[in-house]
Amino acid sequence: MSHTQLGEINIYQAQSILIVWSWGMKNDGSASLWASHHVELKHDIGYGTRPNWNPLSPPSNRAADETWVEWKPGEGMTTDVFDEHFNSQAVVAPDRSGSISGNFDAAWTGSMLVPGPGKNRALREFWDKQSDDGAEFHLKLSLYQQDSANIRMSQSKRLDEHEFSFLFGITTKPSALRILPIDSSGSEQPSIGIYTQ
Amino acid sequence: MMKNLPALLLAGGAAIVGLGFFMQKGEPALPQTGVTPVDSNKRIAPVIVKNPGQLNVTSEVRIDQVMGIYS
Repeated sequence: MSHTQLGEINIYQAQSILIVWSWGMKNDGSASLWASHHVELKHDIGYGTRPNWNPLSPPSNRAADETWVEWKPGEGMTTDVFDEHFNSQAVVAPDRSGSISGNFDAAWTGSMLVPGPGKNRALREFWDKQSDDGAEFHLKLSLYQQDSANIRMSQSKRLDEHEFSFLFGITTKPSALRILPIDSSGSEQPSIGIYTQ
Repeated sequence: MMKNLPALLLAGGAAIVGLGFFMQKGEPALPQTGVTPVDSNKRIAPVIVKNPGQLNVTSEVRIDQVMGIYS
């Protein structure tokens, strides 16, 4: 069982894993301004990013989680373990700065596509192992204002930063088959409903 | 004062090591779930919501979707 915020996402035979996020934002000035985001998908290694206060303790793997995918303004993809090991790339969008018109209420929507187990055999074996190991993920997101398009993060002004710790886990186990209810005529009837939020 | 500088440095160093030792001892045991809050000691940047003439964040970042794609 996953203890993450969104629980276990079933990625059985999925070609990709899609993550979508958004900020509400407003340009309070009259001139157009540039915005971009910094995105980091981290695989939890078990002990998180708590610092080790004891200088006498033996070295351990407590220092940091593993960054699997990282995209930075002005640099693009700086880390992609799928490209390194599986010749299959993760994708972050938008992959360049966005212009926000003056006096305009906008939403910044970003997304990430991570290669899934349905891509090829190597990725299936990789994700199956992650599923067996109970892999869990953190997602760090930052929003930046920029003086010009596609400049580096260090030259940009950070508007917000948030890390979703233990956002989701994954499983590659196929969903169990459900038995459909049988109506008076003896035929199986799927339940049909309208879901509202 | 200067004569005691090495002793002061030594005492300061010992205090830091001792503090680290006791902070380590004082850490709560890992929960049985195996899940540790990774950002318990991390500072998250405050959202800029009053930024005259510039971009402002009007709502916290939210996750809209996490799902498998099959095509």
